[in-house]
Amino acid sequence: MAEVELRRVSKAYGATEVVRDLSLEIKDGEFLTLLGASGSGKTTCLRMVAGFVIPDSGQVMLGGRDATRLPAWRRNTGMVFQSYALFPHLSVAENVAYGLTVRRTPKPEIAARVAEVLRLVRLEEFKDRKPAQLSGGQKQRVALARAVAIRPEVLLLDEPLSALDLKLRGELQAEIRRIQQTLGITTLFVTHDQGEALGISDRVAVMREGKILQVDTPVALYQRPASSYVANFVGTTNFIDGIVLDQNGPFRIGHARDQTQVFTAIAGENGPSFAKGEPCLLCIRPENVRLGAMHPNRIEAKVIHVTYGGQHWVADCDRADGGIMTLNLPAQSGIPKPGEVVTLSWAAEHGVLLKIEDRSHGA
Amino acid sequence: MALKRAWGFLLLPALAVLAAAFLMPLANLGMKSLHLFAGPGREQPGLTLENYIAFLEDPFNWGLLGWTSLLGLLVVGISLVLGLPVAYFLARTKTRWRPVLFLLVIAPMLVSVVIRNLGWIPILSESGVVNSLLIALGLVSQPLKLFNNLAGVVIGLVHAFLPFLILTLATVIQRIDPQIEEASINLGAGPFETFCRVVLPLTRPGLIAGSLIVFTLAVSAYTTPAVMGGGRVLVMSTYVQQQIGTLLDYATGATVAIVLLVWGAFLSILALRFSKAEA
Repeated sequence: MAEVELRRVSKAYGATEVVRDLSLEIKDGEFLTLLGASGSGKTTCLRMVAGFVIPDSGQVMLGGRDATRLPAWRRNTGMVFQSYALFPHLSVAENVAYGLTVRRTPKPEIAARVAEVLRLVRLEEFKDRKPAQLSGGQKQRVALARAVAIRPEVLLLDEPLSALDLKLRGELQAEIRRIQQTLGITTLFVTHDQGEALGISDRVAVMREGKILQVDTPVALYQRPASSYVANFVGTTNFIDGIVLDQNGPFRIGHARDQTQVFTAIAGENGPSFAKGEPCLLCIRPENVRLGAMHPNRIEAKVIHVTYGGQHWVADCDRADGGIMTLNLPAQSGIPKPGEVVTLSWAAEHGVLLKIEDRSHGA
Repeated sequence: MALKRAWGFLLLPALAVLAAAFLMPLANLGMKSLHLFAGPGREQPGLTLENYIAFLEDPFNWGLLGWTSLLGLLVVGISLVLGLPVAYFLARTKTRWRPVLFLLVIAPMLVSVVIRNLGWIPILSESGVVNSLLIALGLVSQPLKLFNNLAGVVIGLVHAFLPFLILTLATVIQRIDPQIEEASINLGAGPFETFCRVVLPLTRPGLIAGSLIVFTLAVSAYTTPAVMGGGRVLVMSTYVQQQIGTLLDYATGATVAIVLLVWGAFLSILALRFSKAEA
């Protein structure tokens, strides 16, 4: 077990820059997730740690040692692949033993370790099966067992759950977290699923176009996103274009179209500074928007439709400025009718102020 | 169902051609092996198994069978050593020249067997390219005999049948998930160990099928042993030609040919059984 560090790494394939001057530190025993859309460079970063990708510049540090040019087979990382990548000609036990066998570990020790790891993933009774005789979830648990059997310095998980159905995914997510906690193993997890990322990680790094936009705990990431992209990628968000009227004390924001309409808000993570008169983006989560005027920040909107989401209703409303306001209503509450004009409100601490970086919030 | 029957009718022309061009001569050959030799071009009436008994009782024939099989194994072995790396490369390369490389591999199959063999003369003869090079480099003082002998036959056969092996192996290797190899490397096995522990075992069906194709082609080849051996290499196929073509002894020639056929079929069935049991 050890800490892992990427120091200003870059990688380009031809003219395409996949990873750009990226730095990232994973602490000893930490579970860190790289979250991003496909093509964001997250898998390339993971493969750099594994040694399958050599960065064009920068360093890969494993346990404090420079491993940038160390061949993949000398690195002692344990990787779990999206396609499981079990050896089809070997039994479950032989698969798990593989890394120990190539390390010329003595036979009795291999047997003991295999038994121990198979117990950890609850597959003892399957040890003599071939991979073809296992279900998807079982295969992924064997892959996990095989990766941790070598006691790697770092566990690398490359979208390990994406091939499984929803229910199994939840179970395995809990399983991975349990095993990671039991072993206290440093873990780097790659996913495009924000729910997965928030549920399993100590910290999440949101990636876009080869760069890390924000690294934070799941709670901070959700409640204090540092950019509109993060706000939109992690959960759903309402945006209102605004202009900074007063940056001393709590922010006072005027609506971009009608500056007589004033909101109060707080700044996002790392508190970016805003100048008076600067255009900005106000971001409010659907669960923080209330039906009615009980909070100081208010906006009028016309209900488009209300859908039932099990735990709550989800209402989409048209705002006068052309934007859409989405809010969650408790399942037991009365719901507004489509076409009804309503007042929506939220507390100052639920309005997060963001810099305007670009207008593409596409996830 | 109606469609299936229609397809069945479409098979008829092919079946007719096969029967006429393949089964009938074979049956004819089989019949010839059941009659005794009665002087050049003639045979005795009455069916008998004596030709086979005579074949099995003569140690010369056993030697010929063994020697021919040994040649087949040698060709298979050399083809495997040469073909495996090429097949692996072809299966894994991402270059856009891939179709061209595949064409290069099957190029020997596009050339007539006689031309292909004659093409080796300027390369392998005593004053040929290879010997000139070896002498110029000081590696040998006397030119090596690489033609009109066993070496020539092996070179010619490997050249002719290597494409079959490469294509068979490349197809099988292509179906192996590259992540499986990465998993092996990630677990601490170097590239060579990964090849031996993962790629080779998973290529087994291709190895068996490819080796079988090359072996049966090599033991039954006639032109290449005849041309590249310069009449000095006697294998079962050249022996058959001697018996039938020179001595007009159809009975002995047919018997040897049938034995070779049965031997090839036996090995094929054995190998297929073996590969099925493994899978």
